[in-house]
Amino acid sequence: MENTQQESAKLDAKWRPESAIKARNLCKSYGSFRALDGIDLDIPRGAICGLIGPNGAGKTTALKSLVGLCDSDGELSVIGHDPRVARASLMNDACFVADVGVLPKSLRCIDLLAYVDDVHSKFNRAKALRFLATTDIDLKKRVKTLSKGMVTQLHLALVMAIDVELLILDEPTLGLDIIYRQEFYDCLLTQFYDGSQTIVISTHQVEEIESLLSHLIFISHGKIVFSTEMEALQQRFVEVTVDAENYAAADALNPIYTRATLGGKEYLFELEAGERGLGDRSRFERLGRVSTPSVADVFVAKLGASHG
Amino acid sequence: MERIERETSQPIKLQRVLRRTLLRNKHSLFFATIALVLCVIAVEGKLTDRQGRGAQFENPFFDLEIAPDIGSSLR
Amino acid sequence: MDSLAIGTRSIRRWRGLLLREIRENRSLLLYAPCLLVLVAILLGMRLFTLLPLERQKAGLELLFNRFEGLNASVVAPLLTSAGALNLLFIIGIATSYLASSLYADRKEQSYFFWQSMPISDRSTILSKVVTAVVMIPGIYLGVLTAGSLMLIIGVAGYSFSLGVELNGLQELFAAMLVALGFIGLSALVAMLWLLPGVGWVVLFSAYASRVPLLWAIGVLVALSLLEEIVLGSNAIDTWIASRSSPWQYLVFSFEDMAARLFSYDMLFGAALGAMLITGATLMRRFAD
Repeated sequence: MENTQQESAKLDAKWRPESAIKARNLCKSYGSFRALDGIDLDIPRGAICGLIGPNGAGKTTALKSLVGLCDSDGELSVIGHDPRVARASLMNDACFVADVGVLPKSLRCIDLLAYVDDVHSKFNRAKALRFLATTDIDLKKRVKTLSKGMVTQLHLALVMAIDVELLILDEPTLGLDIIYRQEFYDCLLTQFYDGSQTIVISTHQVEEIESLLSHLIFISHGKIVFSTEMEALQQRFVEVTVDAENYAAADALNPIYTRATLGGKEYLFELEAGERGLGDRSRFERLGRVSTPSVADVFVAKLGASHG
Repeated sequence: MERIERETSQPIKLQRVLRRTLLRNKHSLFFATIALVLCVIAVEGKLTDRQGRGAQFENPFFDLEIAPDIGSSLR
Repeated sequence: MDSLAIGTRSIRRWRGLLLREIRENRSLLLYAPCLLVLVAILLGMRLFTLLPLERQKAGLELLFNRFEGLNASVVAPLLTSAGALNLLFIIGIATSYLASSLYADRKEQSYFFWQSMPISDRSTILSKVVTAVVMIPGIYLGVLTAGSLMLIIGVAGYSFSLGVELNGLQELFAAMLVALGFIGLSALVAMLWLLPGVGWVVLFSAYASRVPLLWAIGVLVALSLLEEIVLGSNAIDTWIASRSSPWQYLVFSFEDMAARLFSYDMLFGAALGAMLITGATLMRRFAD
């Protein structure tokens, strides 16, 4: 194990020190099914990174690999640790929320708090209790008696009271109603994130987290399809609602995606490297109404392109 | 992306071999563990000429006869 | 962080791990022993009260007369042997606990929460082994002691009401306490003696996708049969039989206990148990 840790340190030294997560050729197979097929990642510290993909894309497998919950092949460094050999020490500085339903059902809430307080040196019990005081959770009740939303609140209280460098969330709001979902992300930004932590969120409900993200990764069939910073996304893609008479002209500009709408057709264009950020989009404005595309539109376009 | 050249030491090579064989998946690990334990039991049994003593009720510490007349006094 | 702080943190961590086991398995670790002891006492009392009153009085007189003037350490082994059934209960509770210890959290998916804590797989599994080998016998003994004290008080009170002289009550009480002590030591020695079994059940708890205890028993029987049919040998049966004498599980003196703990068979069994527990620890990485 010592030699592996030395190896891990050597790898880490060659990568940018400002990378929170660095992976090269990360692979994971379940029998003949390749859940991860040569993933490369480079997520900087302080980023809020969205891992977007459809069901079965490999999001959960990728995130579990990052925290050592499933074995994987390839090179991997997560805040200076190789999670496959040093999961326990990694989890001192990282938190993982797999799903709202993973809290142990037979324990009382207060017992769960006591457990985390005992085993985690960076847990602030008073902070967790302050957060829980704003909810309707009766701490003497068992987790199995709580509603799904309350379980989320409890899990969030535990996570936010731990002073960590990295937070990994795997579809944290799955199955929750809109009020709990909004509350979840509000709390995450206002009470947890201070700019120094790194957050990685996986979801297939892109529109919900679009406004939070600083970085974006699209994943499909175990491969990274596309990755960028959010600022670069806005400079790199243009969406045009084209009037009917301009369809031919729009087609000639090689859109990466088109879809029909009530008012006409929407075209999505990816700008060449030299064109980005220049601000001159007159050739698009001649075709119709120009806007910044949503992440969902870019995702659908890129996914379609990757499937050929 | 540049390939990162790494020195590989003997323990690392051994770990890699183990990961590809015994630690490949939970089934290989399970069978390897059981096979190892059974081999150790078999070899130890041969070396020490282990005999299977059946359940014996000899008692080196005291006599099981307590009060011979207790049965008649309770009738 | 200085060594005192590290030590304190380590103690807190272990406290958290062990308390978790008790809180998660309250029914098995706390309520089951209480129920077993209560049912045993009530059953004994009921059977006794079925006898005619004269026989009850004669029996109680015999009991107190027998113990009058006796040295507790002389009589305690008899009571210890009589209390051997408690060892079976302890082993039963521990086996049931171990079978679900690594299986239950995989089944209900709370495995992902536990693994998100800074606790290594080795610590997790060691905490479960310590719970089975030390905590379960300790809790059971506490319940048994409380139950026995209440029983003695009840018997003394009932005897007094029947006009029986309580001459040997002090000696009976002392013998009971000594016997309880030896039952406790026997339980510890028995669980250590059963470390290979502990490791075997823990391995199946980590591996099986359902009914881990049935798999643990079934595979052992199947391997034993296969060995006989295919290889014509009986190494597994011989080894199990050589560790199955009831007197190997009971301790009657401290010297006896020390000799057992450091005997070759105990240490060899512990080594086998360690191999199986190591396998279970490595198995956790495949729990997804």
